[in-house]
Amino acid sequence: MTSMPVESPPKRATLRHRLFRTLSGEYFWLYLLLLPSLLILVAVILIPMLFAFQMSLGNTSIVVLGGRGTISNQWVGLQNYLSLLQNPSFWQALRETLYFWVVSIFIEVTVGIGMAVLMNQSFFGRRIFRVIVFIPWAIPTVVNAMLWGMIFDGDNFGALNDLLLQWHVIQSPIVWLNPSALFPQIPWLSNALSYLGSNLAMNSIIVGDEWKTLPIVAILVLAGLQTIPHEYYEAARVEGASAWRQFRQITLPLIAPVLTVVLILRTMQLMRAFTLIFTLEQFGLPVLSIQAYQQAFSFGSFGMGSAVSFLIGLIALVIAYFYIKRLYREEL
Amino acid sequence: MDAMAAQPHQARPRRTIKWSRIGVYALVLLVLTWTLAPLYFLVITSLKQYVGTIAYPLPWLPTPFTWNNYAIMFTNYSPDSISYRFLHALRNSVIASTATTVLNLVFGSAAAYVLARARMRGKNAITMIFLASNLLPTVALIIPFYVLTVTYLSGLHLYDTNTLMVILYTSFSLGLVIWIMRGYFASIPIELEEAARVDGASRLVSLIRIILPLTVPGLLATGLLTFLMSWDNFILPLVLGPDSSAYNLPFFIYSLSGQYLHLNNEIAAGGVLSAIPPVLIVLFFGKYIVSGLTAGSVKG
Repeated sequence: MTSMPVESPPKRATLRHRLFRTLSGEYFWLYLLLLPSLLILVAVILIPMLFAFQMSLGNTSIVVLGGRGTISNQWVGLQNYLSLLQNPSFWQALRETLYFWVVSIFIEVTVGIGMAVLMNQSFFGRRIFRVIVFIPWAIPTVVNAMLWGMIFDGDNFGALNDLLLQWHVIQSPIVWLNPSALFPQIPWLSNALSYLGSNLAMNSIIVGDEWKTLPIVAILVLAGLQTIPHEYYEAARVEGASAWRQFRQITLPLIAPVLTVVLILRTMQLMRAFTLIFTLEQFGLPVLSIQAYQQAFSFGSFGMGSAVSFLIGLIALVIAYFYIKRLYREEL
Repeated sequence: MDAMAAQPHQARPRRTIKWSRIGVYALVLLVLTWTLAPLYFLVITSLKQYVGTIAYPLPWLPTPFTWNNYAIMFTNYSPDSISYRFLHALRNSVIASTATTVLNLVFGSAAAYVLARARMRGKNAITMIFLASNLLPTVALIIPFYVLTVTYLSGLHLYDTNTLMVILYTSFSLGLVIWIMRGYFASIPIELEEAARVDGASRLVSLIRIILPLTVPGLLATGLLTFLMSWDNFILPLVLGPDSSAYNLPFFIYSLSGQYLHLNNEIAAGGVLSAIPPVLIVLFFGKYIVSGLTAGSVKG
């Protein structure tokens, strides 16, 4: 019985075989469902990305006449990237982008968790409070920009200046949206902050941005908080743990996964922080995304603009890699 | 001894509870002020005459009062008037956001179903690529979009059209829709589907009759998210649709400030009007959006 092994079919099916099996299989039409999305992905994301890379390797300019453009693309190799990396203003833009990111994330971790913990307390009107807190997130970004533009207006009728003048906190109005150095009285500190990308306009814009984005961070963290069983806290209280200790040893570890993902999501969005800065400052605060836009659409050098945007894409994909790795470790 | 020691112990917790109560309400008040003060300022500015927006001290009530900032958005319709631009922007926003939402739900959930169910090599890799595509900043793609649209694809006359906006918005939110919906499909037991198929239903029928109704919360969440995302878009109309045939409400509001005269009261009125739909969505469906986001992008 055991001595006569049945001749097994060849292990490696030919390509034709596999194709046939795929096409006749019951899953075949399922692939058809996938097709439209794949086509969109290839046509609208992958091809433009490759095209951007190609343009970034050239001295690309376009001439549009009567709605029809002609493109001239002179191959220069990595010249665009090299001159970017040698340009101090690129590094300044990178530092400003990083400053925006680090400070926003810091605020979101501290204030965002604080707001979530607050919303998780029991108090009168909690349900309506949660709804109200969510509203700023719904305000369109451009409207948010205009609103904070009015609040930070540099004249004495700017809302913030008006309040501070009337309370006698300041004597003359401050131009909040001017990218001026902070602490001009202390030169070394002022220079260090400017080097790191911190100036008055940057910090004002961070405040305006946080008004819109803190709610979603707080509410997602709240969703994480609500999954923590009550018994954990009761047990900790029986053991005599202080509120701070409960927070550090129960709350924080248990919302860590939610928090990581929220933070990576926000990091991605910060890379997109174009709308707010462009609306309020035009080209006054040249973070990377503003530089890419300016190179292409103000200076007409599409090659250089593509190089900047390709670098932005690259940075984004590196962050996306960590994000996805995190998601997959939990799910699959 | 014991009794004496117990007394201050008993008194202390009661007092700390009281203080922490006051602390909670103080913080609630602080957060409410931070949230509502800018909104209040936006609304009163939209109800002021222009002189009321540049007065010092600034009036904290809508004085001198007027409805005119809203009225001009709907009356005196003639080419290049403010109402012409507002109504075109509103129309484009509604068309583009709705079409994007529908396309995303149809294509996205179809793809998500396959990626959740099919026994297929590389489906995780495909899901990952979709998700990564969603994380790519718009600004990284806007330059190739522009160049392709005005050069190689100029024969298609896509520049300044809602069609182009819909195609591009769709590609930006598709990854998120696929990711969230895949989670919803995966959470439905496969036995349910198999039972339907034993009863003679085809795969397609079981998908439409059995599975889709169970994923309604997910469809609602992703649909609303997609709608909000495309309603908010600014950079695409800025670069690819700065004409009344394609610009949306955010671009309209930006264009109000781009003039030589910066009329805060009109900008505020436009802002309030364009914020109404998303605010209503968040007020009524906020719960679904949060559960979609947590189910899809947080828990996986």
